[in-house]
Amino acid sequence: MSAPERQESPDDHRRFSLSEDWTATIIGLVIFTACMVGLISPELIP
Amino acid sequence: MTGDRRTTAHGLADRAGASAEEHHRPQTDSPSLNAPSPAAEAGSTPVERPGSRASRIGWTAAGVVITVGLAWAVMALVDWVPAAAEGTGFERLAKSIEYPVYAILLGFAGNAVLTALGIRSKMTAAFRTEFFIKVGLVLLGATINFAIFVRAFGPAVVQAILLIAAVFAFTWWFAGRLGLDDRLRALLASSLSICGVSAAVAAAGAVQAKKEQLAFTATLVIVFAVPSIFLLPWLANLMGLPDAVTGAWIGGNIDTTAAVTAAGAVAGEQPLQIASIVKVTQNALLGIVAVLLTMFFAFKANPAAEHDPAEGVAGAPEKSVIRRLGDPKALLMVWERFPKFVLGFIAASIVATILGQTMSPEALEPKLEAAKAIQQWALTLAFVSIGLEFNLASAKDAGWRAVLVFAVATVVNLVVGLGLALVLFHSFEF
Repeated sequence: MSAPERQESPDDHRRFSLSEDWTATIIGLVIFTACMVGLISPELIP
Repeated sequence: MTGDRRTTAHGLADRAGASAEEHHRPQTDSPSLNAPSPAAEAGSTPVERPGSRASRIGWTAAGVVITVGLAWAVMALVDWVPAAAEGTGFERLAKSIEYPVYAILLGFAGNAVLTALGIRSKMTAAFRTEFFIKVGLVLLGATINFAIFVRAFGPAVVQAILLIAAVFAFTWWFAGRLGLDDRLRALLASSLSICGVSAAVAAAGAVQAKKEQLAFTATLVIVFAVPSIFLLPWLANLMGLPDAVTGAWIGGNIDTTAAVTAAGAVAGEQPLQIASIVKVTQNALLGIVAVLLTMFFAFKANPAAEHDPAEGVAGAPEKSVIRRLGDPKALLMVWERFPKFVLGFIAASIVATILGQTMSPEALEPKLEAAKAIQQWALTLAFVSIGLEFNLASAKDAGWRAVLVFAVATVVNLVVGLGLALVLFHSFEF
C-alpha cells in the first residue's frame, strides 16, 4: 500500500518566494550600480 | 504584485491546469515529475526519480531560451514594424504600438505553440514574470525623480487606503450575498483590493484557505488583468484623462504589478511613473491587511477549528494566534509580507536623484540610458512571461459565483478608482 501523498500548501513556497523577492531586488540594485559606475554602457546592450 | 508570491500561486494554478492539459499522458510524462517542485527546493521531502533533476534543468533551460528569444523578437519588431509601415496607411498605427503589446502577444503565441506540443507545463519554471518585473521596477526607480515620488506618495497612500477599504468591503459583502465560503471571500477581496495573486497568497496564509481556492483565485486575477492592460490605457485616452490621473487609475485598479507596469508602459512614460508609485504603495500595505485578516479570522471565523486537514491548508498555524496589533508576531508578519523590491525601487530613485544634482547631465545621461535599456529588457521578459504563463484551465474550477463576484467587483474597482484618481491626482504636475 502506498503512503498518502503529502498535501501541498502555498506556505511551503514562502521561503523560496521571499528569496526570489530579495534576489530580484539585489540583482536590480547591482545592475543599477554597474550602470552608474560605468561598467555597463548603452552600447553593450542589444 | 508584488511582496509577490505570485509565482507560487501561479505554480499552483498552473499545475492544476497542467494536470488537465496532460491528463492522457503516461505517468512518466507527468508535469509533476518534470516540473520543479518549490516544496522540494524549500527543503521538504522530495521524491525524485533518477534523472528527473537533469530533465527538469533541461526543460527549464529550454524555457529560458524561448523566453529570451521571444523578448529578442519583441525588440526587433519594435524597430522593424514602424520602418516597414512607413509610407503606408498603417504608419501611424505601427508607430503607436508599444513594446508590451508585442511582448504579451508573442507570449500568448508561444504559449499556444508550447501547449499544442504538450511541453509548456514542463518549462513553467523558466517563466518568471514576478522576478523580471521586480528587477525592472527597481531599475524603473532610477528614472523617477525622488521629488515626484515624494509628491505622489501622499495622494497614493490616501488612494490606496480608500480604494482597498471600499473594494475589500464591497467584495466581502457581495461574495457573502452569493453564499461563498468566508475563506474564499477573503481571498477574492484581498486579491481585488490590494495586489492580485500576492495578496491572495498572503490572505490564504492568514485565513488558512484551501490550496484549490488559492489556485483559481490566482487564475481569475490573471484572466481579468490581461485585458485591462489594453483596455485601461485605451479608455483613459478616450476620456482624455491627464497622464497622472491615467497612471493613478491604472495603478489603483489592475491587480497584478506586472499588468500595471505593462498598462502603464502602453499609456506612456509619465503614466507609468505614477502607476508604479501607486502600485508599490498598495503592495506595501499588504502586510497590514494580512495581519488584520489574521486577527479577524482568529476572533470571528476561526476557520482552523472547522477545517478538514485532508483538504490541504494554505496557511501557517502560528499566525492564527495573533490577537492584537502590537503583537511581535503581527510586526513580523508585516515585514514578511512587505515587498522587498520596493526598497530597491526607492533606493534607486534616491541615488539617481542625488546624482542628478551632483553630476553634469552629459556624464549622467549615458548611465541612466543604460539602466533604462536593461529595465526595458527586464520588463519585456516579464511581459513575454505573462503570455507564456497564462493558463485558463484552472479557472473552470472557480464556479460561476466566484467569477461573478470578480467581474462585478472589478467594475466597482474601476469606478471608485477613477473617482479617487480624478480627485487626488487631477492637479498633479511632473
